Amino acid sequence: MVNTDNFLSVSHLNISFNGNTVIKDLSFNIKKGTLTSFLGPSGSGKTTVLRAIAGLNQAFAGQIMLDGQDITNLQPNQRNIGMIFQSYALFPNLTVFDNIAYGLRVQKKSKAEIEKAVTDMLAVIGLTERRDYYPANLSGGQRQRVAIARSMVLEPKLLLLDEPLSALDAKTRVELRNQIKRYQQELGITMIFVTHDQTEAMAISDDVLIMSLGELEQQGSAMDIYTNPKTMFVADFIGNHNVLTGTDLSKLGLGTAQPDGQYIIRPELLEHVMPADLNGYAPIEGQVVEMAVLGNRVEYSLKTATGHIVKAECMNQNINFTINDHIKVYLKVTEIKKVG
Amino acid sequence: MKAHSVDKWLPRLIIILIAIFLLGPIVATFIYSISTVWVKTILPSGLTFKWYGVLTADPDFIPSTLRSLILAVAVVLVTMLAFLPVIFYANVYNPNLKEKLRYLSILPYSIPGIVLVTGLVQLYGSIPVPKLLILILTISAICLPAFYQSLNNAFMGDDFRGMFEQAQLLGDSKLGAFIRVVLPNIRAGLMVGLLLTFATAFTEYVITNIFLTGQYETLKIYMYRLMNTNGNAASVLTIIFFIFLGIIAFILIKIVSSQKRSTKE
Repeated sequence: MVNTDNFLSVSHLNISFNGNTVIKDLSFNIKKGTLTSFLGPSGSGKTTVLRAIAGLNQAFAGQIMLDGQDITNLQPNQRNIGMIFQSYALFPNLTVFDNIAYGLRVQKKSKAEIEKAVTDMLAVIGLTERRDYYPANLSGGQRQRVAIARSMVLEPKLLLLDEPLSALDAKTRVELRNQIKRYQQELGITMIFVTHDQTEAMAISDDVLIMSLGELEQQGSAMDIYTNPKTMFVADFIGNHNVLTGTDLSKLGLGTAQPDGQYIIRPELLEHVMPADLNGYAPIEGQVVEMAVLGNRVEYSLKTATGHIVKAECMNQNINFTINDHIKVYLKVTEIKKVG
Repeated sequence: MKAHSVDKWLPRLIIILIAIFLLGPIVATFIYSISTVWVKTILPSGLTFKWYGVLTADPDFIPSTLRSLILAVAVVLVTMLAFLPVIFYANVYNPNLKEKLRYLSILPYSIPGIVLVTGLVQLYGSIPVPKLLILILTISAICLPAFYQSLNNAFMGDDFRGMFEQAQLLGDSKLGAFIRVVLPNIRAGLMVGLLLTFATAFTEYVITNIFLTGQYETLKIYMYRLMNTNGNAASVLTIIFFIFLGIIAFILIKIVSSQKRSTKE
């Protein structure tokens, strides 16, 4: 019986190109029916791992198990894994219907079965009206949905999405990432979503796996990673934290800490309204030296008397601070997290 | 106003002069092919189509046409089987190889035919391999530049690596993915490349004549032999060649324009 916590199990994966090791002893497990994001900067090895899982890169050491089966040495067409490429890789010579039907035809399904499966899938992605269109006549978002449908119609055990939203505008990205999450939940497919956008990863993922330079930095829920980053890389990459040493904290009057320890303070935890009960809170006073309106939020950079720059983030409502204002923000000292 | 009218008629005049320069010899050859005698007069003494009958009745005409066709078809097959997978691999998986192929494809232009034949005779003259086979392989290599360039252009634009891999992830084999996904999407470039290869092989003269010392008489060799014995029949053959190459050019233009239309859509 397969343990659903280890639906996909990658063990000691090592991948080298031309003598350069790009993936170093990577091991992780993925639960069945979840959406996991591979998050990391460009060159961190996310796509390389994805291609190894798909069987498109078989020159590696390690083991890949899927649903209890060792797929390490299987060809891509024997793995029952779907993949959505960054370019979508739709077949330009085939209509939307024929693109989605491609895999079913390879499986030699009957005409009636293909018609039903593709028609159902077109309804799911809302492109029934466009079944006879060619990819060149579709928008970026529609192409992406066809690419997803083409893989999902085969009911793969695992669906890999390699930065599928990167070529789209901001509004469409948000719409489509929500749609992807909805498809995943409705169809119960296990998905791996590669992105370098932390907001995107946190918005749709059950689990986030952060990579840097071919190594796993941290794996956990989006909330866990955001609130408890284990390394400075994760803290820096996942959020806009204030990073301070123990000495800095002492100088700012934020309690005693290990002088050489590294600590983070999330900007949104610095409150500009004085709490009713100051017990457990410490004030930080400074001059506003920078201000960025982020839509519904505003980010301030305060320069303290000790010369430190502290970032604070507030909801954008009834705030009248401007550059050079001297303001005071309040921090619950228990929210200061030690990293590493 | 004056400058404007010069702008209008000067380009037209240039085009007309170029057209006369290019079409003049062909028209003259056609008139010669239908003239009874045209030796010491400005215009032919009379017109006749008898040279067409003479040529087609010549027992060497059909065999030499068939030899040219066999040679051209063989070269097309070798070119497709040998170069298509390499050009695909270079374009999709190995850009370094693509660079090398580009330089390699220029080589046939830089080696004169006579030098190539001398080298071939030196190299393969004494080994027990059919010379016709070596000729086919040599002409295939000469056709590489045109074939490579046509296919190279066809591989630009679409993500062929992604499409090829996607087809495999959808359950297809490598060969199936190549046949069902790659070939249909390079169809226009492939057709252009194969037609250019066919035309080059069909009209090849220097290497075939010297390497096989006239033992394999193709239509082009037959045409040159005919020129020494019957100028009118030779001009008939030239016109047939022209019509044949014109048809190939027409098909090429059709293919290229149909590809442009589909890109627009």
